Amino acid sequence: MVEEDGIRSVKKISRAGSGGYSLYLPKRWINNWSEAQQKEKEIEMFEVGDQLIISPKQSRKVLTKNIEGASQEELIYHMLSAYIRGADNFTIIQEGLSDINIGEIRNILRFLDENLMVRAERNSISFENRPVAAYDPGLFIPLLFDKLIEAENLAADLVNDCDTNPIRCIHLMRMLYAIEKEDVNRLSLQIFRNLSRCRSPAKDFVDINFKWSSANMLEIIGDALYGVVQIVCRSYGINPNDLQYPAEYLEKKIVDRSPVLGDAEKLRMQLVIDLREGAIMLSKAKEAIVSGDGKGAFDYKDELREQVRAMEAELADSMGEFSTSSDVTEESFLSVVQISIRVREIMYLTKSLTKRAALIYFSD
Amino acid sequence: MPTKSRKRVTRSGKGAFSLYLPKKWVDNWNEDQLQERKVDLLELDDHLIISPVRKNSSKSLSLNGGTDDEIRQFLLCTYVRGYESADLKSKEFSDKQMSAARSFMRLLDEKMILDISEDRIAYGRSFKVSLESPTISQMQRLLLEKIQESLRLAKELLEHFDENPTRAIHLLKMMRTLEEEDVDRMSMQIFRRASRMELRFNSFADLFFVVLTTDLLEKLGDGIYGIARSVCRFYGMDEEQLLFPTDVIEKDILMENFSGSQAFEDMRRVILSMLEECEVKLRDVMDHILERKGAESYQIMHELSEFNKSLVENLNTTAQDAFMSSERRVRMALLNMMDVGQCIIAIGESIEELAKEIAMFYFCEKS
Repeated sequence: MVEEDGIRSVKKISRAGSGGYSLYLPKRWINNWSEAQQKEKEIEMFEVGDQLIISPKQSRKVLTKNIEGASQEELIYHMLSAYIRGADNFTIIQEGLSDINIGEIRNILRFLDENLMVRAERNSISFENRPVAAYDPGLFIPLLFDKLIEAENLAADLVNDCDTNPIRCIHLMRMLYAIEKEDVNRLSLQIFRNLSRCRSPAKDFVDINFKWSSANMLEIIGDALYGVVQIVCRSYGINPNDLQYPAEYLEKKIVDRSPVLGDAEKLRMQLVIDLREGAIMLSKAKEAIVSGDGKGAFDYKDELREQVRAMEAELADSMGEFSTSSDVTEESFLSVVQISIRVREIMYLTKSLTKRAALIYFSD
Repeated sequence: MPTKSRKRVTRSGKGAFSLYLPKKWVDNWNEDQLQERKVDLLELDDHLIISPVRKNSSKSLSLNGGTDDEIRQFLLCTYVRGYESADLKSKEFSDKQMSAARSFMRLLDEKMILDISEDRIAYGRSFKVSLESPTISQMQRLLLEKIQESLRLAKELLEHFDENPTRAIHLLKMMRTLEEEDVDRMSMQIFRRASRMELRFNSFADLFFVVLTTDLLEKLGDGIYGIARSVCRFYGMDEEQLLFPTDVIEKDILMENFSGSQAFEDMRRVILSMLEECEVKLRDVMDHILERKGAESYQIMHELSEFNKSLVENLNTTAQDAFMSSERRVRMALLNMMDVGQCIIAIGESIEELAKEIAMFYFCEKS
């Protein structure tokens, strides 16, 4: 060994046989293997860039937490935190876990990832990976893009119809709710987990890091799109969390709705166009990011910058016109401003995602 | 999924184990690497990451008629990807392009040696970064301090921008420098070190946490600079004009003083108090990021969520009252103030997002 610093060390490799090389493995690393692993002496290896990553066969990250008096939400957060850190086996032990605690955690984990096996006993609940994964993690990022493109088009329909066809809008909002709560959030967490466990396809660590950031940014775009739903819900007098309930139930609750965009027709049209354009932008960004096409992202980023600038100017004009017209009412003022802000935020986020792709992949 | 292969390790001597390295992997090494025969070993989770000490990472590209933006993008991209050296060739770079590339690289990283001529823009590292380089905590602390400074400048800017444009221009210029020359540069340096695995961490999740939080901090810096952009819009000027001398900018400013309007002053007061509260919240989150305090972050995450709801509520109520009671002339100014308010809401959301990430990554790690 030449030098060492905690988890990092430098070693020399030695010639072994005709043209082969061997390396003495750090003792501390081997000492952490289980008895079975030491007996079997088998390792798994794969290359990422110029790095060779090795791990003992049947390597399992096992975590156990003994906790006291954690609330239901804390218990769930423990599970999610261990999940994204890539634990293969995670157990929470807490005295007096109730059936409600266990039932809710079980539901969340089952829904989160069908590859998890959940076990509950009197004072403990745990999850464990199934031996064989039932999906290809490489498809998650494109799928997340597709969900958001779909959501952006649905949001355009929602803005278009929110004052004229509330029944249709209830359906649109329920779909958007499902995409946000059941698809976007779940997919993002699954992407994070697979990256933590080195289960996602990647050329190198830069690629892995970028995938983390992209998934995070896509999740934020999902939040912004869901923000439009929340604004419409407020005008309809509905709690956004109630969107999980049947449409018939919600329809009865919107008797006293106030105008969302009211008579601001020009502005409405502008917002619908922007959202539809936004969906196209997102699909072009997807193409560049999924294929790692830095040059494509670079060219597109410039086009996008101009497009966003033009859209922003048109939106500002329409807003200015609206704010000084007689169409402006106390009820619609806030929803108009807030929907415009959300739409602009979505455009910025898409632009910034493409810019980051160009930064990461341009030289490749 | 990366293609995995299996091998057996061999016992050699008392208690030691050795591993035959895959021939295909060693065959990719260059002559220097083969001569030195040294590898870096990094233990992450239960993985061992092996890579040649002498990095063989040089990037070369030929550009015919490349634009200034393409040159900059190439330099930045190779830098954050962690290449040892990069070489951009063209038939003839202009003086302006050479000078811009030189300034850009010098600003980005003072450790780079530049080699720039009419047909070549290249850089390489002057020395190997040792383990004594600043830790990630030190780098992120500095980044956070710069962001706090930017928040204070933004507050001062909002207090004076309509009454005292000369002072405001000075503040805008400082905010621009902080954003472009400090926050962005430091983020790029952290990204580079993460790409080169030069940071100290114990698991892949720790590595991703650093990248993700740096990304969020950069976004936070951008959000604060958004306030400067909004003030530029108030002034009817492009933010790029901030590069010009103060007296030149001052002549072009179109600004009405709204301090006489009660509605406008009400908005300003609310916005300033929102900004002050964000400053306090950021201070609370700062230690949790640096010390990876998952449980503590979990606690304030809920508080931050309520705080952000109150920001939105507060801004909406004030804006609605101010807007409906104002004459048309003031309404446009109030819309611009809504923009500023929205930047502050975005700042609050970024702070909440930071707390959420710390809790998400480190909550299960507490004992």
